[in-house]
Amino acid sequence: MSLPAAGLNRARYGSQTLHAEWTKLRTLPSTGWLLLAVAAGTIAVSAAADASATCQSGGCQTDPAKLSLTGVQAGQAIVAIIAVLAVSNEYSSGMIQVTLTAVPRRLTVLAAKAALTGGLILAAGGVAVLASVLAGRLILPGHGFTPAHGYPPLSLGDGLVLRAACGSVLYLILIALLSLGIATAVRESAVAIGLVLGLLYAFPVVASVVSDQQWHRHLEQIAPMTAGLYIQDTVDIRTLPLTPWQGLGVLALWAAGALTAGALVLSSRDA
Amino acid sequence: MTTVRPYRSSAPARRGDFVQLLHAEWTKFRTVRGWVAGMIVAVLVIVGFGLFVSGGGVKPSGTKTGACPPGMSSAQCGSAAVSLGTPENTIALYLIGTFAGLIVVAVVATMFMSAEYRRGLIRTTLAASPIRGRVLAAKAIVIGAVAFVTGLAAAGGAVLFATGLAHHRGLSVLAVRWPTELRVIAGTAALIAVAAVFTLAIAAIVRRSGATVTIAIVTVVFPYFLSISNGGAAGVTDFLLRVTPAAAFAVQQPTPQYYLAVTSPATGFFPLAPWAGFAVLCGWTVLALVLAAYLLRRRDA
Repeated sequence: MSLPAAGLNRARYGSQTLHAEWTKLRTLPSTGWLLLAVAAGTIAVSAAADASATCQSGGCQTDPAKLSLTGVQAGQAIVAIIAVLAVSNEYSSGMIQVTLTAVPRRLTVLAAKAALTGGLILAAGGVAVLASVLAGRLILPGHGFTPAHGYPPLSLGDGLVLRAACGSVLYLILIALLSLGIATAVRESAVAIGLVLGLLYAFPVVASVVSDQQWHRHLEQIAPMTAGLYIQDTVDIRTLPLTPWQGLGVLALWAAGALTAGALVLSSRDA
Repeated sequence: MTTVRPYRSSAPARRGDFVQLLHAEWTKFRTVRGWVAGMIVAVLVIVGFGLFVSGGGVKPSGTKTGACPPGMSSAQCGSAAVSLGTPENTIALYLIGTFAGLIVVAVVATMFMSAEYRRGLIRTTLAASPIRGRVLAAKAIVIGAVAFVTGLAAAGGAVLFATGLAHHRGLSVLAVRWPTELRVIAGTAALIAVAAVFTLAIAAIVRRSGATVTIAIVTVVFPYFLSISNGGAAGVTDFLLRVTPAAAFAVQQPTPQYYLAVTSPATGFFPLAPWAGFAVLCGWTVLALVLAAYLLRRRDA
């Protein structure tokens, strides 16, 4: 047995680590507020987007599902903060040394943090997305998105809307994992958040000024945010550079890459 | 019971002290390798984005299908009846990396303040200079000056090199008169400098680096991003580019409104006039600085 004999049972190692991480996360006052902010921010921005849209006649070139999930773009910034702070708080307070003394298997710590952060975002994101769809269902018919114009009310019974809603929750979870990986690699919260938001915004901004069609297409295919949000599209899916699930896969690759980088740095560098 | 009063030095402040304070803050800045590297990265990012846009992103005239200015879909452009021989490029296009450089500078400006709190250095700083508002002023001047120089090098380099590359590839660049070009370059540098001071003030208010960077990016960069990527309704982004600090991106506007068929930030048009937009950012910065100075004096360090 290479483990310390301090009551750590090999079989329960993982669950005890998870429990320890959960206690740390749960007892931070900021966690609850930030989760609330994810839900509130997402719902508020989605509802505002619904309210500012208009559709006078048929074919208003708007995707009602995507429109009512606009708030995900605001919520992701707060999701990034939650995930970054889950790691960088330990480094700024020196807590990481206690953590790694208690749980010398560093990758177990990272896995526990990833699982917990993902779970929290699943809960907050789930609430936010459900409420956003509901807001869309209630608000959009008043702005011209009526069956007469070819827009039935949003319903999760519609397979495409269900995919957009579930995919948006998955999107938020992947953003959290991406942020967690980057924060583990760079350790400083300011730098980590700057990197995450820079990565998300850079591709769409550059793509918007690139007129070369091929470049434009490639930029959209590799952009974590643009490609990841294809999962929200429910109309004209054939014109997208990637299928919705492929798009989410691109974001998953980014997240996997960031987590791998974080894992490498965590296991090789001094804490 | 006596009330505990915070210590305030009774030593009179002299004029020379402020120069010493500036010198101290400058020493703090230049001796952290990561921050100096961050400023260099900001320059490289802005110039790199400019070169990417002029070098690969925009097609030369011969292979272009239509005369659509960048940032405009062909459908929009066809319906907009662009009768002018629109050049493929404007110098504002080469400064597209400004937002990315701004993120880097915001991170450095945040840490310039929050590092004091993280290591407890703020107590030494305030013991050495008990007039707290002056510490904030010195920090703001140092980070503002450094960010201005960074922005000037970045914007000047981006416009110079990217224009050269575009001419080399046979692209036409929208000709602007030199005062406009100077305004775009110096305005970009001023935008980065004031945004750095704004971030510093936010950092002094909230004291947490993660929250500071997020606030700075969401208020300065996000509305610009939203408008340029057509992510929101036009009315909303138009409103945001009038009232948020992101209005300052208007200093990069290279042409008057009538030139453009489609008016959006992607084509170089902003809802406010260049310096009016910049004034919005300055207003926010003054507000944040006043609040930061007030809180710095009132709160325990």
